[in-house]
Amino acid sequence: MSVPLTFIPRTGEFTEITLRRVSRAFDEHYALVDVDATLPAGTATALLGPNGAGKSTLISLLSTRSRPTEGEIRFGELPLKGITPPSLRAAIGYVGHQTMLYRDLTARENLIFFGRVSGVSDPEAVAPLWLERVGLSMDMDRPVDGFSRGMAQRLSLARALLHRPRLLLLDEPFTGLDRDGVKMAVELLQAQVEAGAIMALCSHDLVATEALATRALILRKGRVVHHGAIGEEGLTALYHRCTEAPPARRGARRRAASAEVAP
Amino acid sequence: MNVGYTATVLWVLKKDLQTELRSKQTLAMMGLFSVVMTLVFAFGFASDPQTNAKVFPGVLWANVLFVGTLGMGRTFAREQLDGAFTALILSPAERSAILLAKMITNLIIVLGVLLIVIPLLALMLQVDLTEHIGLLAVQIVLGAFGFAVVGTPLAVMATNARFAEVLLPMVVFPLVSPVLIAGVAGTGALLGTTIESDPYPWLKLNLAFDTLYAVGGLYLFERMVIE
Repeated sequence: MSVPLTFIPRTGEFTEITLRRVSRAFDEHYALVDVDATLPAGTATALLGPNGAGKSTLISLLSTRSRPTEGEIRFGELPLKGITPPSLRAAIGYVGHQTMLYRDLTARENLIFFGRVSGVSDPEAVAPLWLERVGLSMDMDRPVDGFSRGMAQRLSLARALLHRPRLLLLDEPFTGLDRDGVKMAVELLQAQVEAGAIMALCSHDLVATEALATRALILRKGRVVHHGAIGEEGLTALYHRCTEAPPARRGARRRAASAEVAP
Repeated sequence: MNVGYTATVLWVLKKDLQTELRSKQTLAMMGLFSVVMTLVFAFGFASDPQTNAKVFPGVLWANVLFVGTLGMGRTFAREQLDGAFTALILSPAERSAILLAKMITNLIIVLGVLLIVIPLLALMLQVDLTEHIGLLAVQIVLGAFGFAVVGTPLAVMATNARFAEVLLPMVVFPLVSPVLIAGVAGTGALLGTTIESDPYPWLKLNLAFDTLYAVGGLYLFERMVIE
């Protein structure tokens, strides 16, 4: 059976995500303040910043799980408000801090289940292909409970990519992966971006992130200090330059986001 | 990418029962607790047949209360363990279908435990249920479903709250009191131990309650999962 394991554009699907003056508060604290950004198709944006900068909050907003306190997020022409339509959720693949898997199910059962609820046609046939792609074909019938963190992370990547989403949100996607695992993940994710997917990833592995990212969005205390191309200096140098300089302030009416805010 | 409503309910239900049957965590905990409680009640209240029959409805519904509370607390425990609930909620599957499947899972597990506990209780208190078994079964199903429709959506809301184990019963107990009152009074009427001998008004009350809370929960669930 020949099934492509890369993103395939669907008719009417968004090709760009725009954020306009997006802020997100938790009680009295702003985790994000006035974020303006555009994430076009076929790009991988590295979301970088020190702890508490608002990276995970931004990922959560883009996942549609949470809503901005102020400002607007648009998926193409569709503004994010009220109930998220299933068609939009179908276009999102999410890897988070946790594996988001069922421990009592085998690797194959996990993928088949998530394939079914994601509308993948013939998930029974597709699941083994993904398991082979992420290097788990020998372990596909083992319960996830017995997996190492790296194996679970490989499966988590397959779960997020299974329905070939337009938007890939990756929060620490290289957690627990060995060198071969990181190489596999980078190649797999690169193929999605080359096929037209939109990727936003945050990771403390700057080397792996640099291999993937085509753009960077750097946050400091909830504010954007850089958004756009990485340039010749490279991601690591750009990150250090931006996070060591004072953050740009726009608007004094909001309380500054504090580093203690949980993302 | 369309995901059918009924198919979603069946897939989530199948997955939930599959994981529960493999780990048996909830079943073992609820079953053990329920059997011990039954033994305590039986040895504490066992008296002459007439007194036993009078005590039976209260003991039975106290069991439903504790088993139902334990069940709803466990509903999303496995989903939250590794964050699978987030992946499920972000999938294009209808969210109310996910909740409905969870309600049915809860109902099946609670009924499974009660299926063992009720005959044991009847045996120990020497109460003959054979004459009323059909109506009693309907009462139990409606009562257990009442717990599921109230407790399941609230368990989702409580998952991210601090002191969820304490918060959930505090919110749920007042809301399910109509189910318990209708259950105790209805079972009493059925066994002829109360002045009121017609159990049907209590059944109708339970049915109305279940319908109201099921529809409300399914309608509001979509909003509950947005942070």
